[in-house]
Amino acid sequence: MSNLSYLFIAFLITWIVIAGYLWMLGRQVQNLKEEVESLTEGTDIGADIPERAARTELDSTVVGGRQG
Amino acid sequence: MKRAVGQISILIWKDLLTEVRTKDLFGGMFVFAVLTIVTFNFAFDLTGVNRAPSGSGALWVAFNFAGMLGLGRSIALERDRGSLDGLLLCPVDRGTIYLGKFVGNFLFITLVEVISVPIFAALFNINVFQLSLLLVLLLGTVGFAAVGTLLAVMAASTRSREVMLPVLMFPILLPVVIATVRATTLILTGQTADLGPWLNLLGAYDLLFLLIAYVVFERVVEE
Amino acid sequence: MAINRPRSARKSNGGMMLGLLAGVTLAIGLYLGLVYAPEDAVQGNAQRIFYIHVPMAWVAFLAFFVVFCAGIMFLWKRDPIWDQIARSSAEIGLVFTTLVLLTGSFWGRPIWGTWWTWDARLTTTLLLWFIYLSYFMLRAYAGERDRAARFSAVIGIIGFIDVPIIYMSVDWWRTLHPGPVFTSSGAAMPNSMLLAMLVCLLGFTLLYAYLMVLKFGIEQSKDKLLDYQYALAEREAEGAVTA
Repeated sequence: MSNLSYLFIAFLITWIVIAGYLWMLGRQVQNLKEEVESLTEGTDIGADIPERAARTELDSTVVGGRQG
Repeated sequence: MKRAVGQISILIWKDLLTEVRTKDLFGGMFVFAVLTIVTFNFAFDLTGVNRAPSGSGALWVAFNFAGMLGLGRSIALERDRGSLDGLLLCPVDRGTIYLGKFVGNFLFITLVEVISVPIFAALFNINVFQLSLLLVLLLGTVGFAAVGTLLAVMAASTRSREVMLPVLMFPILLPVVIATVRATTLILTGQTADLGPWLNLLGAYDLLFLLIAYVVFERVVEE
Repeated sequence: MAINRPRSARKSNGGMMLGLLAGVTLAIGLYLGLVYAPEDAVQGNAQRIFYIHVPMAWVAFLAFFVVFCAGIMFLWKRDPIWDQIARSSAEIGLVFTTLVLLTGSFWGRPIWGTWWTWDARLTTTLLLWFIYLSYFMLRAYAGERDRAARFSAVIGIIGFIDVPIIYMSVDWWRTLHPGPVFTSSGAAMPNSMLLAMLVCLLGFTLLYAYLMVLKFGIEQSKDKLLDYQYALAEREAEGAVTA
């Protein structure tokens, strides 16, 4: 294997892992959104969320969805 | 200060007394250590001229494994009998409890070493009776017991405690392993000139982690 | 009910900006490293792995430093937010440490002829990897949330302080008992290489920051979710009792 092949593989692995990790994080955000949806369905607990929640994308989207 | 020393002495005395009555720990640790050394004889060539380096490695691996065994069991026994909880109910400073446990563990492991080393010397015809070796044993065991006591208490509260303790201990204790094995090899081969840095490393490690464990122990045992 | 939508939207926009900034910086840095910087005279093109290997190693240790600080803060202040920071940083750190080990092997193989060597830097990184691993094993086996947080904070603190000691001991082990000697090219880096390295360093640090923002948000939401679930369950239990 030439030097270039090693370089290529190293870069490939790196970007695959980083991209994969980012994708995993995106999935976690998605799953959390769904869980909050199912939990706050038919209750008024969801309305509390913006007050005490941190400013996360998840919370704003959920509240926005309910209010919209 | 004097009260703390008194409390620590009581703690140590309690552990020693328990051990003398039940003989739970020492026998197992000792046999395990000697068996490990003997097994190493077959794994590596401990009969040749170069047996000192391999020998010191074998010795310290044996002590590490036996030590972990003893630590794990001693804390597990305390938990299962509820004596740790009882101890925590007493109005004793948590750091003091840690020191008491630390000294107790240190004494047990040292006892195992003190008896194993002459056996090792006899089996492999290596002269071990040098003062510097005693110092290395001391410093190494202090470091091992200091970190081990803390980690053993943590591991004992987890689901898979027998696995958890070695997993936690091996990375953290690596400097002690390297330093003690190297120092022992230097002593056994008569090259004591280079001993200084290793002893300094061990000393610094011991002080540092004793301090950290003393401070942190309270947060570990609170429930 | 008034929504904090403008504020949270701004926060998430800020996060995305950070991610964009990281991506752009990395792109520039990689161009510099792969195209602009000259080929190494001794090591050839494989040397360019350095432009991702070194910055990721920096991030791995930076992440561990954050775990260390957050651990101290958590043990001291007992605020769960510190544990959320700690475990987020630990996960990112583990990912990057893994990458450092892998890219290091792919750099070592063509240059040294071996996939692995027990020199101080690689060995310490391997130990760091194991400490990260024990961090998560401890969390997994500790049972309840608070205990997992406390215990892993202790490991984070002890582990971080231990890392330089591990490095020293392995280094002395090698020098006082010499094995095969691998030296990186002693010549000073030409400016173009230095520039590429610095830009990549910045890029990966920004990437770390972006991943932290993402992961921290996730962990914080996870904790809140658990809290709400407990509150719900309690509410139901009370209702059942009083009914």
